[in-house]
Amino acid sequence: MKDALSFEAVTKKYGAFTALNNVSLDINAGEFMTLLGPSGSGKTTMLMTIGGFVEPTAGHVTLDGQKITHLPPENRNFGLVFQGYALFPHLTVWENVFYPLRVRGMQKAEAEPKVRDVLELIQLSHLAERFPKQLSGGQQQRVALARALVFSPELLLLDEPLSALDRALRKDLQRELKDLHERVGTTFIYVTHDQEEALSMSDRIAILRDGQIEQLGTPSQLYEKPSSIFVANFLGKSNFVPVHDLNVEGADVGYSVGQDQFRFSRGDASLPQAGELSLALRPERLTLYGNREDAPENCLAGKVVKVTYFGQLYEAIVSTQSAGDLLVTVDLAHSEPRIGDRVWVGWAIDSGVILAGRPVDTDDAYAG
Amino acid sequence: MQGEAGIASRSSPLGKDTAYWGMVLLPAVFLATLYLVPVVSVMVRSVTEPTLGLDNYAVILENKAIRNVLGKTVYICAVTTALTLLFGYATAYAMCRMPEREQRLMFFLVILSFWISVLIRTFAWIAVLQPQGLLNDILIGIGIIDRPLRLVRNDLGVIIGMVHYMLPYAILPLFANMKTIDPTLVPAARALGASPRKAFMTVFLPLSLPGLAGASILVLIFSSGFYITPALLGGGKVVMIAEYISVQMSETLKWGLATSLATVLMLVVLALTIAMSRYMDIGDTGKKA
Repeated sequence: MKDALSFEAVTKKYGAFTALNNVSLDINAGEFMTLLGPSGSGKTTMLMTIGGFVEPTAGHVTLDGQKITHLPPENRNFGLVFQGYALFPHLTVWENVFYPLRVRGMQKAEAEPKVRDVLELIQLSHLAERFPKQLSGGQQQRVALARALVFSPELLLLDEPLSALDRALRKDLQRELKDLHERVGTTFIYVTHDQEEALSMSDRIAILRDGQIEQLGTPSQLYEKPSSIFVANFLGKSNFVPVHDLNVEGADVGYSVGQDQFRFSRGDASLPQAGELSLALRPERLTLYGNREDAPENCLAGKVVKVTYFGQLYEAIVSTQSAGDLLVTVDLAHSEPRIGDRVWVGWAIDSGVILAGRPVDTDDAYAG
Repeated sequence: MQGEAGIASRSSPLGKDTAYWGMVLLPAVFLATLYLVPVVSVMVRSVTEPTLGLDNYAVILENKAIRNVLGKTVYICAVTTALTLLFGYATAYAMCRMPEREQRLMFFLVILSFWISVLIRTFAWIAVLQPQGLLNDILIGIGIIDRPLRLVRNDLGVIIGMVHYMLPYAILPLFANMKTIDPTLVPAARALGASPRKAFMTVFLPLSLPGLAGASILVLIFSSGFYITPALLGGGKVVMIAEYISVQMSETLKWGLATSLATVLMLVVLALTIAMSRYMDIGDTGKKA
């Protein structure tokens, strides 16, 4: 597949501050690409560089091989949905959606079918004569989408479009957006700081940190095989167990936690060089056992110190001697863990990844 | 906050409504005695002096000199308002786009001109604009012109002085309005395919119309009553309505004519205010609809 949009060693500096540091990225045509990162990581700068509002200090942005680095936004033919929707308050829904066609010189009569189609697509035909202020947040959001799609843009750029909505509505709109992406087939470039949103919607995610891409991959790649403690921490919850004395024999890796020996089947994953190491284990990869005989080879003894009920599952914190506190999710098929229970925490030999470094603040591991 | 206000009004011994009426009573009495009574007496005099009837108003319609003064007043006010809005709009627009620090500095500079009395400013303009004044000296000195330009004792001088005085009255409401316009709207228009010019014309300008309407009322009303500036910068050659009324009052002692002219001026201003405030509502479609 040919690349729809490429970043070629793009750097953007604001005075002494580097917002983007030598970023290269290829986004495929038709892809749902998410730029995910904490605030100040450069994700919005990246989106605005694509949109034409930010000129890079160095490097190039290309579209199908053509340099578009210095093209003004109005000549790019990209749809852009702003965080606050940016609907024109003096125009009705219909006029808002008509706007991009109007500035392209189209007459009302000629544009009518296009506007109608796109309003039907977002199911807001009945509100065409309303003004933006008379709509709910979710409806405004959909109008902003319609307005950004009506001129069949080559890319749709979305800047945290759901962040202003409440949680339940956000879930619905996530599904709608995903549907919309499949139906229109346009490349979506989506900026968010919400990791759940990123995981559930994206074809690929680029995780940004301090103006650089920390890791690029599919949601499951990033979730299951994070390449750094930052990524493991940023996407979902993770336990970080300090490990030492790696003993590598092909795909089989022996390691120690405190005085205990464990085994890790790394598959084709690479291992970090020596230094401080952590084993990142997702809470749902850990299982509680009542006695040693039932538990797998990799297990640690501990005591349940906290249990939280979440409806579809429990979260238990198990205090162990060599690995500290571990967060374990227990689904309802198991019996309810109780505070004070003596348990064994076990995990499969192919679970988790071994990463360089130690988390700066161990509380972060399950702070959520 | 609402809770606190509720508690405060409940604990008021007079009850909520009485307490609030009490607050407006004093200013109301003050305005009625010192403002409303004189205004009514002006209106009464216009139909009773020197004889009962509408003779004074007939004079206004027939007298050529008065018609000239009225025409000049309308002309000067219209040009002043147009120029003030143009410069004021540009200044307010630029201020909106400045970083916080520069914006505060600009705001201070705009407010600063309120501190200097209109009399001092007018004399300063005479010093700058007169034939042997600063501006002409400089222009002659660098050889752009060889005889002084006539910049005072004519319409131009009056308009320069008035526009200068009125600018803050236009900048402040325009700036206040522009600050309420979502700063992402123009970039959104650009992203949707509008050139900078088109984005301004189709998005920013329509949304700033309420501010423009407000500023134009203020400027128009203020400039219709200008007295010192036209009297000094016009040098007796540009007579506007306020100066003409003053002459009738204090020199020719035609109080009947003076009060009827004042009444006409007041009614015109009132009509303008009503018309423009209607327009302001229409301009603010986003809120109204």
